[in-house]
Amino acid sequence: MSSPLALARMRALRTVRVPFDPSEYSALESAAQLAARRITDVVDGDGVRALMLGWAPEYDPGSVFGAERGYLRNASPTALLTLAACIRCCWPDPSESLYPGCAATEDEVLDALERFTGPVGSGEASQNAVRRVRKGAIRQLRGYGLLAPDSGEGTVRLGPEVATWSDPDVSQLRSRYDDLPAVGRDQS
Amino acid sequence: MTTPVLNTLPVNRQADVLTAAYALERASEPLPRTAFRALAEPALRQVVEQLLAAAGRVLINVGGGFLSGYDDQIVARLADEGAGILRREDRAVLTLVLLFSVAIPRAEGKIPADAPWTQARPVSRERLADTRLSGTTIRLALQRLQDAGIVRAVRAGLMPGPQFHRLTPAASTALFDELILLAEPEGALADSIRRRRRARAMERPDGTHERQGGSGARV
Repeated sequence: MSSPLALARMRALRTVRVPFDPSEYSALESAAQLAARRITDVVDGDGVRALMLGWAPEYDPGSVFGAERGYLRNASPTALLTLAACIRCCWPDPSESLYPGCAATEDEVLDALERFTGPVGSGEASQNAVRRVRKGAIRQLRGYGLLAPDSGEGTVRLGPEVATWSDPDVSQLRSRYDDLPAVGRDQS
Repeated sequence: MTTPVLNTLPVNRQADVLTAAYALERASEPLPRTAFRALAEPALRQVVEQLLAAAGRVLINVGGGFLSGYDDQIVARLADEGAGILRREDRAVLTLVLLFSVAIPRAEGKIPADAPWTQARPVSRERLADTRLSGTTIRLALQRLQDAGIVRAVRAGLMPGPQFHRLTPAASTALFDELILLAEPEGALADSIRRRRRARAMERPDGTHERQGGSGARV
């Protein structure tokens, strides 16, 4: 199999199964190096090991949250705040690794946001409109790969893209853990 | 770094190339030539193209700016494998969006024939509902398509999303050909398309066949 095809497949599928044959894994690593990329080992929410295509370890695109190069710089404030709430809800213990975290419900995420921002606007219609916008942000985050695909059960899980975040990015989150939007029962 | 194509460059230029490649792969809209040194300078841009090619990607010129997309042969192989293919119902809904927002307006002369896909006449959700697809199917498909940047919602309705910037010229032509075959299968244009494809298929003895599906693989 050609190296470009193997890497393109990884991009198209976002995660691929770990090859049984170690030589296949080595071939993927070699192909990644030729493209200044690297193979990242991740474990999804179901505990299944998979591979993702990341960037060369020597290359630092800057913090994912950075204003210069962060790919979240074009995300709306709502999307970013919703991501923060999803992280907190899916990451109950900051001493543990961020990814894969645990499952939360959409309602938990929305409740955490409402607790964080307080009521927006007045009346039930306003609140419902805000919830719809935030639900839209959850869908947008799924599209980015920051949240796992919708399983149809109103469940929120962190997506494989989060597994590619650098240690400095995760440390930044860990240092601000208590500032992340949380439901009341999570507050320590 | 053991990437041969980069090793001939000074460290600073390597960083320029990687920065541009990263941005090309991540951006939602075309990058201006002037936004990155490695896009502005032809020699560095060539290195960017080599780096992309190593991952099955190509540099696409989009109205004077740039984005990355899949190499045509690579995408044909991925489509054959079913990798990155949209769900059946998503393809159906996307086809409707493309027919109503692009193909029909182009046929009516309301959009220039050489306009990009994103220059479209938005189609209302109500128009999509007036089809054989259920409302739930359409709603869920549109959610997925919008999340993926394949369809974009504007005030007036729905239209192709920014992912359409990432189609190569060949992929774009193939997709529009599919719309013609669907909308007017007995017409002269459709005949011409089928003749052209038969001629190409005969020219390829290596076992690969011409890519048929245009709204399949993720870009």
